[in-house]
Amino acid sequence: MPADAPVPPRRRWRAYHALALLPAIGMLGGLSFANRVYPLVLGLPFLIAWLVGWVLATAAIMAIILKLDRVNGLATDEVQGEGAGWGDGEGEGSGEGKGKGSAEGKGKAR
Amino acid sequence: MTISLAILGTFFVIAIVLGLLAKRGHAMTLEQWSVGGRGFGSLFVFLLMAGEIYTTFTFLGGSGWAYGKGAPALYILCYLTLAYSLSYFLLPAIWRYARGRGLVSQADFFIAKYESPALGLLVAVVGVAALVPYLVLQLKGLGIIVAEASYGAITPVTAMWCGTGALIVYVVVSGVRGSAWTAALKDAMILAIVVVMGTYLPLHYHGSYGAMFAAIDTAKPGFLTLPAAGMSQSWFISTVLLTTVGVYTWPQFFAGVYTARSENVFRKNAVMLPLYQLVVLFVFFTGFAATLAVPGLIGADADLSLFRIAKMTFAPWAVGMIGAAGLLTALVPGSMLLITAATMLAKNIYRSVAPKSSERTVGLVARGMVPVLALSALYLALHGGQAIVALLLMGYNVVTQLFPALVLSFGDRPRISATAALAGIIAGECTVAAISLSGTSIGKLAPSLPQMVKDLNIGVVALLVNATVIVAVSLFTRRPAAARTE
Repeated sequence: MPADAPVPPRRRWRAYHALALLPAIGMLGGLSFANRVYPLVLGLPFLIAWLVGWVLATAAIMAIILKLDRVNGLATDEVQGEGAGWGDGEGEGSGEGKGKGSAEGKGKAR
Repeated sequence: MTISLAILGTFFVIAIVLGLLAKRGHAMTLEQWSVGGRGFGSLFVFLLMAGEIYTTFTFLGGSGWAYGKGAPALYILCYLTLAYSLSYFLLPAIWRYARGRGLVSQADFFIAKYESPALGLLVAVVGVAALVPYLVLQLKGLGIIVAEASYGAITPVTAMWCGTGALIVYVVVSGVRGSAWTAALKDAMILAIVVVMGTYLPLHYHGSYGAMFAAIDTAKPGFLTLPAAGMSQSWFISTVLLTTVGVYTWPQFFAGVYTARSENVFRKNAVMLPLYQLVVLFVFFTGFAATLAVPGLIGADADLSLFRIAKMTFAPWAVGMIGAAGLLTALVPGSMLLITAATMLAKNIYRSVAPKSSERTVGLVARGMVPVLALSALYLALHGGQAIVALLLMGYNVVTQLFPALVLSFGDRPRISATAALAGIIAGECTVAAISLSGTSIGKLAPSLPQMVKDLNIGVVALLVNATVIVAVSLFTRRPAAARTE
């Protein structure tokens, strides 16, 4: 099955992917500041509220990254099965490489 | 009391029937059985991923930690969140590689990446060794839950036998499809029940969240913050980071990845799962409410706090519903653990002994392993005593040792040789064993170090040994040849 033969190195990383580090930095890096009970936020101890805030922020950050990946053609929806949905309708998955080749093609095209 | 028994029984039967129905229309090849023919859409993968997170550990242990230890319990909330943001990048890469290569287990991945059957065998052995205690814990949790929710009418031993029987039947018949179907039922129930308990109990006993936390802070100063020593900030940070990288080295999560139909499933899940796991917060609220309402549970008994406060507050039918949800939190992850361990035993251990065996034989061996594994786990649950808890704590550190070799395998070819990966994993595992058996900590090893360093999770040491050995061996060995390009 040549569909998944090894492919040359791909460029899948973008600068905005670094946003995904923010939750770890905020959640854990802010501990010495956030490790307190008062003021209560919505009835929750400050520490809990701080962490919950970062959980919500994580969802938002990941949503932004997904959105940007979609715009940049990095979040291709490759469906299992012969020929189904290659290239995410952007017409680039054709030719030799299939799936992976298409992702790379889009990356390079920019 | 009779009503809670009836409810428990009903849900037990529903779980088995759902598990059996899941097979309909699918011939059970090994690929169907282990990874659902790689045809699961977002919802099922979401449920499988979340289903493995809401285990009995979260249900009983999460509330137990909040009850007994307070703020340090919040590490669960943090590592799950960070693991999901990591999953956005990690899982599509694993999935993409596995698709088309017919990989069904975690060991398969290492064999293919490093072109080393020996490494695969090691990974399979490590995986099974870590999975069995985890399975034992699910069975023990199931025993506790059913005994509590039936007001003692069913003994833990009976409950564990019934649970094991149910697991064997639906896992052998339906494989991972059975897990996915019961996971849907389980998540709906647990979501409703945990949110109701976590909202109702604080309001019922204290009038508001603010009043409850103020009362806890007055009664137990320092309980709601991380202490200066022991489970301090440096303990918290190192534990969160270790468990974050450890999550996807568990073989059952790896297998869960293969079930997906497309790689975007994981990206969408990475957005949704952090929100979804906020439900854990309500488990903590239940535990916090219990600290003042049902004080006095010490040590392992802290895990009973959720049921104690529930029985004090709610009518028997509600306790029955809570018990039913708890029952499912043991069955669903238990089935995933069984499938994963059986698959690795058959495909990666049995096959390395009998390399000529056909795909069909391997599939049969895998299903044949299910009762063997389940009954061994049951035996350990009934006779293992406290040693099991120690084993499980070890389990997380054991699987985490696979992380360096996993990360370094990405790219067009692995960045280290199979020998280096093998040596690193062995060195790491030996360190984990030495540390766990001697029960030491960084503070005991080097009492003169600053408190911050002393409180670091001891798992960090094993990972450092692992990484050092990888670097050292890499100086003398060559990494696998560059992948052939077409």
